[in-house]
Amino acid sequence: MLSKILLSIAISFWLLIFYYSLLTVCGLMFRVKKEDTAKVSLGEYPSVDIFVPAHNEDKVLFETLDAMANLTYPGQLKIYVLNDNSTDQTGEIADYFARVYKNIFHIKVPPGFPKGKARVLNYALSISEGDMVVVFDADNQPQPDAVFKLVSKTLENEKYAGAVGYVRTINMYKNFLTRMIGIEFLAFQLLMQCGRWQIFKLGSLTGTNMLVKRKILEELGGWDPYALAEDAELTMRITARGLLLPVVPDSVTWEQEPETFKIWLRQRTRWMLGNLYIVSKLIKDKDLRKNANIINAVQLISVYHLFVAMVLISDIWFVLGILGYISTNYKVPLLIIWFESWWVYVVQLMASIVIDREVNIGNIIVSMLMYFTYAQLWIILLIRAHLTNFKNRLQKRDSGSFIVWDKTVRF
Amino acid sequence: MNNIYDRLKISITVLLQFLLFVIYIEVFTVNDFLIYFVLMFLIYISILFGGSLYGFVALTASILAIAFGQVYTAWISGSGFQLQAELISKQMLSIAFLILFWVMLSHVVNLTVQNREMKEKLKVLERTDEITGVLTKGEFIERFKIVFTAMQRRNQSGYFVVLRWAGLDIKSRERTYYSKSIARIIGQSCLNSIRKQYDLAGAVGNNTLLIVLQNASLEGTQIVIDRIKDNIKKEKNINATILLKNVNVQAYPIPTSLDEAINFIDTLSQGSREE
Repeated sequence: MLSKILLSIAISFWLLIFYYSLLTVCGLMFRVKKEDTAKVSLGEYPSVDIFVPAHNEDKVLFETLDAMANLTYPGQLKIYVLNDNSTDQTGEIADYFARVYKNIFHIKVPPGFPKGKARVLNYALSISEGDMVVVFDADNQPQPDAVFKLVSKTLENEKYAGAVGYVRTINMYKNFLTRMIGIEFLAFQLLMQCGRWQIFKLGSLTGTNMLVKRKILEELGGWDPYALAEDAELTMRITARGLLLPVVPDSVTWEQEPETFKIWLRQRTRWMLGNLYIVSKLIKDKDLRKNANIINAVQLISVYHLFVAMVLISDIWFVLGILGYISTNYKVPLLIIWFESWWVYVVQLMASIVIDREVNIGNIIVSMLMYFTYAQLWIILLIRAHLTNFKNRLQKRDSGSFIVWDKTVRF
Repeated sequence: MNNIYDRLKISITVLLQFLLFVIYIEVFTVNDFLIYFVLMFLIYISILFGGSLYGFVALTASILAIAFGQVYTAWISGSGFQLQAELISKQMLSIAFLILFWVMLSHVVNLTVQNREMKEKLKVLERTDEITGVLTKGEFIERFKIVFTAMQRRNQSGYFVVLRWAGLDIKSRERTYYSKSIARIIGQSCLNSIRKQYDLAGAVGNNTLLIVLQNASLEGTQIVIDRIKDNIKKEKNINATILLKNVNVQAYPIPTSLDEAINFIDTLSQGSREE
């Protein structure tokens, strides 16, 4: 019995590793392909509205809006700073730019329920009228051509509901944690996102540096205000309609990532809770389980649950194997399996740092250590998220009661 | 063609090193390997702290040490032909390996050092400010000296125009922020308003631009200032009235002494905020 369990665990573990390796190779293929630059000469430029939700963001907002003011877009471009009851200097900074720039607007979002980013975005949708809607987080510094590239890609095909750009870590070299987050983003958010697009024509909205056509957003009824991971939730509804979200690696924004473990844990727990909400929505709503959403569901479950479970199993397996507690009818080469899974993980990380020109001795060493450090943190994260979810259910709190501005602390 | 030659050169070195390494593993014992590992480490340390030439000194010393070691080994191990031939072939292999190791390491270290030095030089040689598009302070001063001499020779006078704009104090950051996008707009407007062949515009700080108008009267200077304001007003997304309220524009006659003029620029630069 134990032998069969171990064998099936080993097979599923290696299937997952194979899937990620395939995504890595296909992501690399997608990245090395040269885009036809002639495609970006458009006859007409649709109007674009940029939404910047902001709740107490005075540490980062000046540089964000300065970068927004530097965006080059030939058509009409309006930037909405969505100030959701900030108590710091957020409003003052927004006013400073709104006074000087005709296309920057300081919008004071009226108080409402449930609190959070999705509600703020829905409010912005109701007061604006641009053909395309772009979202940037308040700590983002997009490159001047980021929006132009998203628009150009979206207009290439009628089936494109929008486009997703690249999010790079601005404080990657601040400390060990930010370096690991930076590498994780390069591998699992960027390179594998490209791989998914290359194989399945599947893109996922990343919450920032993303574009969605207003028409589609209105047809879908905007963002789900009860979703903590409102971007992933919107992706599911767009994909269920058979529409596509292409990945645009050339459209780059720079974002600040958590610099302390405590803040990282809080941010990722929020993401994981959002993920659990989407999984439950997928189970309840059969309309969502259409088109490529099956792959999306596998992706959601594998990133946050299967991957962590496998890391945990591999740890237990390794320890029990070393201590001689596991004896099966199969002759399983434990050490080789464990070593190769570490090595494949390292290769995936290294591939991403090479393709994004972040290869250096420090990043190579960190990539080698991440399986033993960063990947293990996810076990704590998974347990914490499930406990929080369980607590919420026990207290019979509906999602709306705990949807708040639980934003990442800025540095 | 040069690119291919460079790639060929470095790739042949790497391939040779790899080939030798394989032979090295096949031929040498663990003890031999340890000795050469120590020598490689010595070369590495010498290059790390002293550079390529120090590495060469270590390489030479290593090659000589190997020669003495060979004599000693042959002396105590006997003088059979096969043994001596084996020792010599091992020596040749190890020397080739050490030389290639030195070549590769020196090449990579030199490239890294040169790359950093070139970047530093490039920074100094940069003529235009990357945000505003006007001249950098260093380039501005150099060109101003030439303009000043020419003005003196022709017995002409001119004006400095100083543009300085306000920033925003962010308490949580405990510093004043100056908008780069605003700097870009003002810089571009200045460039579009001056005579490109005669006048100069330079950035002397995060929030200060300086224009040199040669052979200009106060009236002429005022015309240029008005032109700058008009060009700012033409910017599509700018509330010019608000922005111009935040920009302090002053005209000063250029001093008759070069030292005084340079001193004026330096004072402006020190007065401008560097956050």
